[in-house]
Formats: sequence, C-alpha cells, structure tokens
Amino acid sequence: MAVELFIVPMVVPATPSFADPIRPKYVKDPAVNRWGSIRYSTADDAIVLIDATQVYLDSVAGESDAFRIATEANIDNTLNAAQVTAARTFFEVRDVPGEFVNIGDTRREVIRGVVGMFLFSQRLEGAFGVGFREKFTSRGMTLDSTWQDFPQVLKDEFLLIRDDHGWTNTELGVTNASTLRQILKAVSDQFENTPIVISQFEI
Amino acid sequence: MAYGDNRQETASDTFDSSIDGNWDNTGPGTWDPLTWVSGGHIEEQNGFSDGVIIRTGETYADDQYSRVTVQTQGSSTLHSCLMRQQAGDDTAYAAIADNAFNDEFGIYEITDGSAVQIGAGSGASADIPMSDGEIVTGEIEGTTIRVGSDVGGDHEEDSQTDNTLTSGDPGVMLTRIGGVNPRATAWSGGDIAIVDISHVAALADSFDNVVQRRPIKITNF
Repeated sequence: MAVELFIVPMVVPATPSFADPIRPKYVKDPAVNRWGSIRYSTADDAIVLIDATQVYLDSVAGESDAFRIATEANIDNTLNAAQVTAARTFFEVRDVPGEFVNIGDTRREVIRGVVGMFLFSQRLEGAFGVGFREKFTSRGMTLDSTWQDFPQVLKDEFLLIRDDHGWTNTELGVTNASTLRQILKAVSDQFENTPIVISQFEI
Repeated sequence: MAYGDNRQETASDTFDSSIDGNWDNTGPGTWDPLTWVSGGHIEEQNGFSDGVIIRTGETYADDQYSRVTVQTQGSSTLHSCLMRQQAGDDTAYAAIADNAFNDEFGIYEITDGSAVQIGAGSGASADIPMSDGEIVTGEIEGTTIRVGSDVGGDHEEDSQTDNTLTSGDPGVMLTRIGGVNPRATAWSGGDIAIVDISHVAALADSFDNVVQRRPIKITNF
C-alpha cells in the first residue's frame, strides 16, 4: 500500500445518504484502504489523500480529471518549471489561482496554500449553502476581477466570512485594486498555522 | 492537541428513566426523534432512518467532544457522535462507527440531511462491529475532527480537517438501515479545554521562552 495526494472532482449523488454520500471521486474502490479529503466545495474539486495499492494510485493519476500532487516520498521535494506549468494549467481551469504554485515551492507548501483557500470556501458554503467558486462565477467574476468590481452582495458575503474569522482588510492587504487571485492568496495565508490533517496524515 | 487530551466533561446521561428535558428530541429536518426503551436504552425504531437527540441542556464550547456507549451494533446500523449541530437543523458533524456499509470509522458533515463524507481513515476496521458497552467518541478542535473508540483502549481511529461548521451542540445519532434497532446506553460530552502553561513554566525558562509559548489555560486543579 502507498499514500498519495491528488486533486479530484467531488461526486454528488441524486439523493446523498450514508449509503451513497457526497464524496470525492475515486475513493470508493476495493483497492482503497483509507482516504480523507478537504474540498473546495461539494460541487467542485477536493484535495484527497488515498492509501491504496500502487496500481490503483497510478490508475487514478492517469485519469484526465485527476492530478497527482504528491507522494509520501516527494511531498517535500521542490517543483521545477515544467511541474509548475502542469500544476497551474490544471488549477486555473478549476478556479484555483496558479499563484499557489511557484518554482522552488515544495509540494507540501503548494498543498497547504490550496487548502487554506479551500477552508475559506468551506466556511462560506457552511454559511450560505454554496461554495465560493459558485458565488463569484455566477456573478460574472473571474480570478482577475478586482475588489472594486465585485457586486456588493459578493463583498458582503466575503466580509461576513472575513469577520467570522476575525480578520481585517488591512491584515489581508485587500484594496480596491486587489484581484480575486490576490485576495484568495491573502486568505489562504491566514491558515498557515492551522494544523492540516488528512486521514491522520499531517500535511 | 492529540486525541483524548483535555476533555472536560460537562454532562452525562445513562437514560435510566427517559430522554429528559436536557435533550432536544424533536428530530429536526429529516431526522427522527429517538425512542427511550425500558432498561435504560435509547434506540431508532424506524427502518432507513436517522434518529437524533441533541444536548441542549448546557452550553458547549466550539471545541467539544461527544461519546456514545454502543449497544446492538448489529449488521446495518450506524452509531454516531454528533458535534456542532446547528440549532433546529439537520446539519452537524458526525463521527461514525459504521457497521452498515463499510465496516469502518468515518467522519462526515451532514448538511440539511445530506451526507458529505470527509474521510474514512480507518479502512475496514477490526474494531467494527463494536461490542455492547464499548464507546465511540467524536472530538472537534478548531478545524480538526477526530473519531475514536475504546476497543482495546481509548484511541483515535481517524482524523480529518474541515472548516464548514464553527459552533453548535453535541448529540447522538443512531441509524437503522436493516432489521435491527441500533441502541445506545449512555452519552457523555463536554469541552476540549485550553490550558495555560505559563503557570507551569520551569524556573530555568527565560521570560522570552515563556512568552513565546502557545498559551493554554489551566481550569482545573
């Protein structure tokens, strides 16, 4: 058995229940011993840790909607230019800012950065029933939209979650000219001291 | 902190004569109320149903734990510790001993009655099915959620991270899938306390070293 981390889509059954819950794709397989996840939202993607046979892990890595972020062996290895490009390409189409992946970052640093953004989105989903990606895309915003262009309802939702965490715009460095990708990076940084545990595996 | 650290019990119940007024037994949303059974048990009697009681008789901190003493974990039942249940809503975190689908300990977030599985860290567990009198435990501390059992000694079975729910009440969920009524014979719960280490700083410690330590507050001697 081996442990690897991926980004995969979430699966939403027609009638979620304990028999068939909302969960990440590729975790319900006899080859999987244990798994855990941190999701962007129930409708988007999730970072998932899978403990399974190497054959199964390699099959997941071969899926077009999955991206292998790290293994136990390479989680503290730094990324080169080609690896950064591949990761950014996968992330950006899923509205995860490529700013979280840079040459010289370790895979662990990348995961922690993305998780910080996901934890923010989870709080918003908990408060409003919908994740942050749905909130901003449904209102015509993109990762390059600036704070001053946000509709007031989106600003209000963001500010409510910001206040819930006890942050200020000064601490976040948010100005009218801040892009959404910059804001999400600033939000993610607030979780840098938060313990991240996925299936008893500390990130 | 680790599993089992700094639990401060707020209340316990052995259901000797009823499900009393310290519990919300109205079954919010899609959830059923639970039934008290003579002999000191509570159970879910309806098939394909989740029965719930929520502890509302006291105030609980955001960092809390919930422990359920299992009885009748026959096939097709789930025994769950609820945490941060949202008042009047079928929304909470659940630390589950699953003897119905996967024979494992898992951590879920239940949103308006819909199950979102966060993880199943234990895999197919030798600790399932649990025996009568054994205890399943759920803990939540900040964004860290843990499920454990006392099979072979109180220990962690799984842990995950989630930030969806930030506060709420603890409780019990018993899920009947097949022909057996899942039962529980006791519950206990409370806060996961914060302890102030500055009171126990060694004399040799420098002031700077003490100040830089993460503060934890001693509340009990």
